Amino acid sequence: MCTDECTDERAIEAVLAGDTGAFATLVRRHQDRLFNTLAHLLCDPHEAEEVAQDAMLQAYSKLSSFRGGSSYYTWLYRIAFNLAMSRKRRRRPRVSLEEMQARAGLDPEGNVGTPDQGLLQDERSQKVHEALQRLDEDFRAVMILRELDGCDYATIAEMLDIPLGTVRSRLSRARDMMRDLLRESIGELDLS
Amino acid sequence: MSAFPEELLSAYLDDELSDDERARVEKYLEESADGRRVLMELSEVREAIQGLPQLSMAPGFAEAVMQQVGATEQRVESTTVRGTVRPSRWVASLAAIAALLLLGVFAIDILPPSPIPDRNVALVPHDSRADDVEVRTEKQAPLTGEKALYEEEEQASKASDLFPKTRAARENRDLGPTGAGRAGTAAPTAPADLVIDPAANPPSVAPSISSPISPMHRGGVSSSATASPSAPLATLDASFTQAREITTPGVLNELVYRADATGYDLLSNSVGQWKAEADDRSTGYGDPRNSREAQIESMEIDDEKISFVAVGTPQELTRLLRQHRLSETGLPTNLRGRTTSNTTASNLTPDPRQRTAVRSAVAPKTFAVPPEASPNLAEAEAASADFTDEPLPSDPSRIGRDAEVLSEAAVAKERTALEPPPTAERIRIRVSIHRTP
Repeated sequence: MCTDECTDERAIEAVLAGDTGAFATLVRRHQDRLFNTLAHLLCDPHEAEEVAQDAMLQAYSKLSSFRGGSSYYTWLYRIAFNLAMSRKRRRRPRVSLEEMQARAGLDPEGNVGTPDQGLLQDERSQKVHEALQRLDEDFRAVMILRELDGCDYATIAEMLDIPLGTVRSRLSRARDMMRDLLRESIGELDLS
Repeated sequence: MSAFPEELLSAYLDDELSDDERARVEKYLEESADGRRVLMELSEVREAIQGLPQLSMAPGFAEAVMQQVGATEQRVESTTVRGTVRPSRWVASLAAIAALLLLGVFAIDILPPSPIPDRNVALVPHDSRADDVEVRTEKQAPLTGEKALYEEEEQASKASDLFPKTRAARENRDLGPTGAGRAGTAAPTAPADLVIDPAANPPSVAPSISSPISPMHRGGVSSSATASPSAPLATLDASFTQAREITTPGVLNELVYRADATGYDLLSNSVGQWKAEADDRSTGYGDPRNSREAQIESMEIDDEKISFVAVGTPQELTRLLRQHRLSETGLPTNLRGRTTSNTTASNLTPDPRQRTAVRSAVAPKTFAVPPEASPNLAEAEAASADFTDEPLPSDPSRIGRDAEVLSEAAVAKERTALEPPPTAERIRIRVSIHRTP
């Protein structure tokens, strides 16, 4: 019986041995991280949730093909990223900052108690969010994986199936673009 | 901005530099105020992004996923025996492939007399040189390795999409023995051409077939075994009107693929699902004789063979066998001994999702059956189309009444169209897929 304390490897073994319930451990363990990354990547929490669910199901059905060469999350993210890109090709991104804030526990209309502070915080987040959305997907993906997900270059390269050098150059370029974008929008706040 | 590569500063921020690169960056930063400023800006960009709110998945997500997994599990159990859930079944399938690599036999046997007239149905290898039929087959290249497995998985997946897997369907696999079939056997090759001859009287004995299969697996039918792939793989005797002897060298790879797919499908109990689907799709409002699908009456699996008994018109059985990939071209090309010349595999895609289109495409012109015996499915489709496309009456007060009348008319028309033609006699066949060591 696999509990929530099971390692990913143990949980995978259990699922492959027929303990379907063990897959719930994997879902619960990785759902928030995957969702956070996807939501910022897709700029749409609803779509992120759908992609996350599809990715989880696909991971389940293909679990026997997981060789353990990378971490389960890396493998899962790669599935999700491919699904997300496939969706992006069919659909334009939908911007929904309010929903993003709501999902983050921020009430977009609940600034009555601390108006200035809340607005400033929200405004700053909004500017960053908008700047992030203006990046091309290739750049946004490396940026999110590095800054929000904390992945190292090798992991990003594996997740996105690109060379290590490309990760480095894309990340540098993405930061450069973000710097320019943020300088335009909130330069007076922090960025010189 | 200095000429110093900013990429190095970015990677320095992430501690992703080699020792040499790091030393180079640090030296540059010591000397350049510009460099330090850029580094600070990049750092501020990082902080800005890291300051974005962390989003959490909505409550109940894991439960929703697990619910889906449960549904998937049912499909996986019943359609994809290999892989995550039941690897041992896949091993069995692989064993079947290995066995069939050496020698394989698809046999369609004749059941004892029954209220539904039995007919001998022989799966015989088709050769493009055969002069009694012309079947232009879009022959698939033999698939091997991962590609074959992938294709196979896709096929199972498509089937599972179309056919909901029910417990009852899965249990069909456990139906009891199906009677004393006699092993008339024909060696499989691809493409294989199903021959159904409803005009012939039920033979009193099974066709005698020359086959490479080992006698021990042939259920007492006399055979002259030969293992050479260039030797005749199947010969039907004179009692079978469409007896042919075809030499098909170099078919072993294809054979393996076919056997793999077939054994895989059957091992995964697709037959039972097809039966359930046929029941569900019986368009005869409860009367199985009005079904447009062959019915699987029973199925049994043992270590040496998989066999099932199916009932239906030649057309229905052909479709069924084609779906099982027991017959590549599948059409009853020589029903009543006639020859068709306009049968194309493109009309007969095995993709079950396209069956509706296939029906329209093939009926009645591409079935080599007398016009009065055609299933007339195109008319059925037209009946349905007539109803949906009927313009509403101009008088709104008549809409409900007229709609009702139209509905009845359409249903009656469709019922009539779906009635099996009187000459489309339902026959019962027994299909056995033998494994040989």
